[in-house]
Amino acid sequence: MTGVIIVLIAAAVFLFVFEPFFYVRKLPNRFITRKQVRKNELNVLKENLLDSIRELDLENATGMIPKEDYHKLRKAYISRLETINHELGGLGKPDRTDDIKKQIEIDIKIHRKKPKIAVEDGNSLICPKCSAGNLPGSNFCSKCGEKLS
Amino acid sequence: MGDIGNFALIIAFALSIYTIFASVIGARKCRNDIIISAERSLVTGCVMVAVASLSIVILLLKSDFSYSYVTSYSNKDLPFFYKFAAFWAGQAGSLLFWLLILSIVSSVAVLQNKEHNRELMPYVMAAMSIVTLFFILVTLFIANPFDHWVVESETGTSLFTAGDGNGLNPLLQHWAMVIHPPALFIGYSGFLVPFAFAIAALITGKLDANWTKVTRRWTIFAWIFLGIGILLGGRWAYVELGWGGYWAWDPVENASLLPWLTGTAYLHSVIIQEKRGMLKVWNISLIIVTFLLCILGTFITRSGIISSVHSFAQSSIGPAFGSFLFFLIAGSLFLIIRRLPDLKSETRPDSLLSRESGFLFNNLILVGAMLATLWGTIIPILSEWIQGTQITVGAPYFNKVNIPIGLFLLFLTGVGPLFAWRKSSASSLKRNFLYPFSSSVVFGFFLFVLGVRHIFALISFTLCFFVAFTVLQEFFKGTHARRKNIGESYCRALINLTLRNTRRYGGYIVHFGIVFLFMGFTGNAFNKEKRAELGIGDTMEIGSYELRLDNFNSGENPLYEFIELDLAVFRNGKEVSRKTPQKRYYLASGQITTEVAIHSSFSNDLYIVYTDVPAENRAEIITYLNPLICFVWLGGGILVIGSIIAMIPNRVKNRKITIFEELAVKEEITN
Repeated sequence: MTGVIIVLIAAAVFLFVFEPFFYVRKLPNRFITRKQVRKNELNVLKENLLDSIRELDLENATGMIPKEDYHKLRKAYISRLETINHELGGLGKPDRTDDIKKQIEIDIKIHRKKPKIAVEDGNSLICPKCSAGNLPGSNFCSKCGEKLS
Repeated sequence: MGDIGNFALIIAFALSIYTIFASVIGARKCRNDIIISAERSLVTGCVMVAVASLSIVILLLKSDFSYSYVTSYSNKDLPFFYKFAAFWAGQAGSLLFWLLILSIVSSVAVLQNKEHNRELMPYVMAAMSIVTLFFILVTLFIANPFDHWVVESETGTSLFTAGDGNGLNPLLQHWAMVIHPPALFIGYSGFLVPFAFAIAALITGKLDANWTKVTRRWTIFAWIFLGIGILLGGRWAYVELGWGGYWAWDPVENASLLPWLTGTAYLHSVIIQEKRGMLKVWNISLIIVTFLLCILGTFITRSGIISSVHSFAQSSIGPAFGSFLFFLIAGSLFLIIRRLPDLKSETRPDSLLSRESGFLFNNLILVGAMLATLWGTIIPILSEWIQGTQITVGAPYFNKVNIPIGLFLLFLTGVGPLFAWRKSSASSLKRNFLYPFSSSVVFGFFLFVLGVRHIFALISFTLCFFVAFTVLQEFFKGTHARRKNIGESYCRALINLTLRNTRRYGGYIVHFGIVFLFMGFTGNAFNKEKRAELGIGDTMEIGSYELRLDNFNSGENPLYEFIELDLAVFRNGKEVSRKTPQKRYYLASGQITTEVAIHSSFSNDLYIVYTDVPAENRAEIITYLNPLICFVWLGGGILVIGSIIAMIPNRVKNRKITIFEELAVKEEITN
């Protein structure tokens, strides 16, 4: 009896594990394109940025952060969001049904009313085009050459 | 049944090897069929380990004493509950149990990510399978629970079936011991997923925010279970070991604390990476070290290399675990060094007075506590290697080192939330610190006037007040802002505030739990102990309690014979309860144990141990008065609740726009 059970288990395992090699129908795709990988990365960055903005807004509402710092940081976040959204736009149409993305659109609309400027974030100057960090006082972006001052 | 279990393990062994190669080859060749086959192989391996686990459970429940594991850890009269728990009572069974949880965790991670993180998943599967393979190897070839009971004689070896088993170690026959090992193993295994993702990110070079996002929730999950495991272990030690305390800085206790400390550090520092793009090398190293410490914990617990109160299992698995640990350390180091250029921080901290600096200090302190504890724990091994004699480090060393570290950590727990991100201006510092700081100073002075002269206790209580004040202040400010801006009632505003910022406010609840824990720990400074010999009618006093011995009772059941004291407990002259501490003689194992009796109240625990029988109708007892101990268990509960809240996704993501964002947007337009 034990022998029969063992043989049955072995046969079932073998069939289940190696069946994909003999699959007639199309297998679900487990690989994604480089473009999709980048898109996923950007979406995660976007979510993180939105979380940061939300937390920043909360800190502003509770008086934890000085107004000046709040505006500075928020601008930096929005600038990054815009860059990410710009790149995402190039990779494919953003999913309009997603609430998070709607939020970004709102942020971007606000931001577009203002001229594009390089934003200081800590010890680096964020490029408005590619969001690369540059040394403070730089005139041009070291990555894309965009004018910073 | 044992043969089926053994065979299932052999299949699981073959499947793990196949998964490692198939997932890497599939990823390199971009072959869909190979990857899907590897996924199925990993999940089937889990099923096979489950079959093996089921086999050992059936053997234990059937009391099949032809297997040495069943004979060693069970007996016929053992209740069903403990027969089941005997699965993880011994070394071989506990390793199989850990393997089962590792396999389940791996399978869940694979099934969860069929559509996500595809660029990482093949390597995640390979990393998880390497760990699983090691445990299968140990279970199959070094500590196999399906080994038969073999007797050697002049004519050769023959199989032997015992009439009854040795029974479960009496100390393990406690409800907390039934839940404690599973909780601890789930905690240890849960860290496998973040570890595997970190390794996969290092291999593929995809070191963006993605892997931290995936691993954050798994890390909280593992951290909660590890915390529950540690607390239950403490509770078990408190009620079973009979020395009046819950934490003895035993090597095995320390082994479970080490990954918890680094896990705590990671949960804080990963926020800085998400928000500021800093500490990338630190974070990836921290999560790898956390898992390595889990393996080290098992090595210490199960190898018997250091003598411990948990010396339930000692065997030859030490070299195997040591080698595997070395392999993991070398492999991880190589990968980190290879990717160092990709792990550069995007920014630097702007100011020392910022939240990121607070997190950084908190990380340094937590890692410092881990290193100090690790040093004290492994010094017996090192001294044996170098000098040939084992030098053990006792509780005084750990207390001396960890009490100041713990107090500084408590201070940072209070200070951290008061700093703003990037930098805190003088005005914001003044505004945020004024009330918590001044009221804490007043509170500390008040305690001093009341007569608290123990310096560490005074500092600890003052800091507890400070942290509790800052946490409540944070909740109040957030709730008040919502009420002011949206017009919600305080209650609704509090609930919405928490549910819309679960990580932040769940974290604050955890901090509140930490306050309770520290209050409980500080109570140790005021412990009292008294030893007395009593005859019938004699009384003894400790603190505000008086005990009177009224009678001796004795009895038996299928598991043990016992003799107990019938004690009346009086507080301020009024009888508050009757307690019956026991001495037991376990029939199967021939062991004598002491069962303590505890009278618990909010302010203290009266802990009674029946230690000796000096003469007929006389008893020697030791009583301990442990103040504030219930705060430890209460704090643990709050910590778990807070962690669960921190794991819940923010409710705000289902809404179009948050009220604060709306306000901020309006403000932005007007600017």
